[in-house]
Amino acid sequence: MATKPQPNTMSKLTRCLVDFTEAMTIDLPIAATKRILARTDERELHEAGWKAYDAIVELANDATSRVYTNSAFGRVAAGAMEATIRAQRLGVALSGALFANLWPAIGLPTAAELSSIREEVGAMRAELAVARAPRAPLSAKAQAAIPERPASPRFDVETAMMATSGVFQRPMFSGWTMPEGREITPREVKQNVSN
Amino acid sequence: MSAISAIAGFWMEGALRTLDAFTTGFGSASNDPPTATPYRVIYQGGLVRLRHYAAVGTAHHTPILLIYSLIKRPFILDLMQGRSVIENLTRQGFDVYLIDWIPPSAADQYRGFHEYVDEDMANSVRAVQIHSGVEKVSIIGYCFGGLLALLYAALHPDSVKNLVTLTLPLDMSVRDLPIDIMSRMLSESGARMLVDTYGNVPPWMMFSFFNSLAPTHHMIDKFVGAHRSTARRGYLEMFRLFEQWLHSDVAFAGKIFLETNNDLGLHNALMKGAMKVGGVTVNLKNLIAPLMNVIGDLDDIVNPKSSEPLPDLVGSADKQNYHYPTGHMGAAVSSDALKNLWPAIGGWLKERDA
Repeated sequence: MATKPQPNTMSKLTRCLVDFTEAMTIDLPIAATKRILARTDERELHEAGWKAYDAIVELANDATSRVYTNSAFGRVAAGAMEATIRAQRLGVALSGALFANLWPAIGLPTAAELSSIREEVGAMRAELAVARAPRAPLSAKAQAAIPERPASPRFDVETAMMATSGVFQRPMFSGWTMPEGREITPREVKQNVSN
Repeated sequence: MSAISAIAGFWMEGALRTLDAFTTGFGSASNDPPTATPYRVIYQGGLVRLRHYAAVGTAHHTPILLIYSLIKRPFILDLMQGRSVIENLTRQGFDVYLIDWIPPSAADQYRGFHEYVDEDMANSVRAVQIHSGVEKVSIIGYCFGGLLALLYAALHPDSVKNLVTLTLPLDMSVRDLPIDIMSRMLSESGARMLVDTYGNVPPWMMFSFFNSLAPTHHMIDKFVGAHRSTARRGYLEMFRLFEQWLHSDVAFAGKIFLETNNDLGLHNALMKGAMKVGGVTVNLKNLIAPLMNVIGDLDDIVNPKSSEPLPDLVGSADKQNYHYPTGHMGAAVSSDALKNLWPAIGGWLKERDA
């Protein structure tokens, strides 16, 4: 099935225009006339209608391609896009400077706070998805077959955990700690947390 | 009249889908449809979740690692039963591993080719080696995933048994498709400003960019097409899943966007042998594994001419371009490609399995 595309003898635009003209001036009027005079069924009229539609779409697609491949359009679009990004950048910087101090003063969260909360929720969702996904046990044979290769330290930890238990977990916050870094005892928790 | 109301129904459904995506976000993993082929996650680290799809029947010796693009969710490769590249390969007797890229968060904007190729992909290959007990793996890379696979195979050739690249964007000097012009219109300073503003390139921007390339199709023609194909068995289910995939854009990490736009797009660095990943110059001659470079002759997203020079640049003795009459996504979802192209890829890999 491997093939090379065949060269087209007629330009795409010419072909689109010919199809469009043929559909609009010949096929569609003939089909409509037949439908009215000969009281034929609607199939022929539908087919002529779809042919006209296809010709219009082809023409529109070709026109779009021609606009996009035009270097002048490229320059204008690039200029407009960069101007929009510049305006956006200025807007972000301005609103940041203006609202960074004003917003918290009236008790509303900043965009950064909202964004960090959203990311935290996203990360929790991802962790939950991973925890719920089935995991494959690793075979001892597979472990023995591969020679060791240096890898990044983080990967070594994960691999080692996979090799022993078939799963790995990232280090997570496991409880309260005192300011000096010592883990808080259950008794101290009771003293510090009223409920 | 009934045709118009049916098309209006499809159009409304599509418009709501797009508006919902703008409101609630595009390609989150939680929005993926159920997978057609069962899998297990065998490794997670960095921005990778590595899935394993077991071979049906006796497995061939060399497993396949599938690398998909970073900018959309990979469920297009396992869309539904009978329309799944992964199902196709497992039925051919391959153990398939798929890198499910985790969308980058704001904190990941520093991630470039080095982090994706030398860290995430290298760790994934290592995990495949451990899980399968095989030292070398066959890698199949699709679209931007093909570029990542190519860079990996040139930088870490020892672990690659065979390389298959599909619809690979390589030579950026080719400029005769709309996307060739549109994707290279941002200057270096414009790209820098975009990253300074957003961190990562937002999914809505990726979505809008790709949709703007074919406005007639996305605004009306695909809905008309859905109406005209309603009678085809399974078409509507496929259409809706495909639409869901079209709305599954994920953010593109800031640094890799800059490298792609500036180094690859504007300077054509990979073709010129000047591309650097993690401070190392990528020499494609280091790639010595057998290479099959699949080119979609009707591809309007990656210019077929852009992929063609690859065999001339690599060091492999066994290398070929494989032209196939399909479009960019047709190579993954068309029944013709699943009937002919993927068995051809599988056959090529089987011949080089020992």
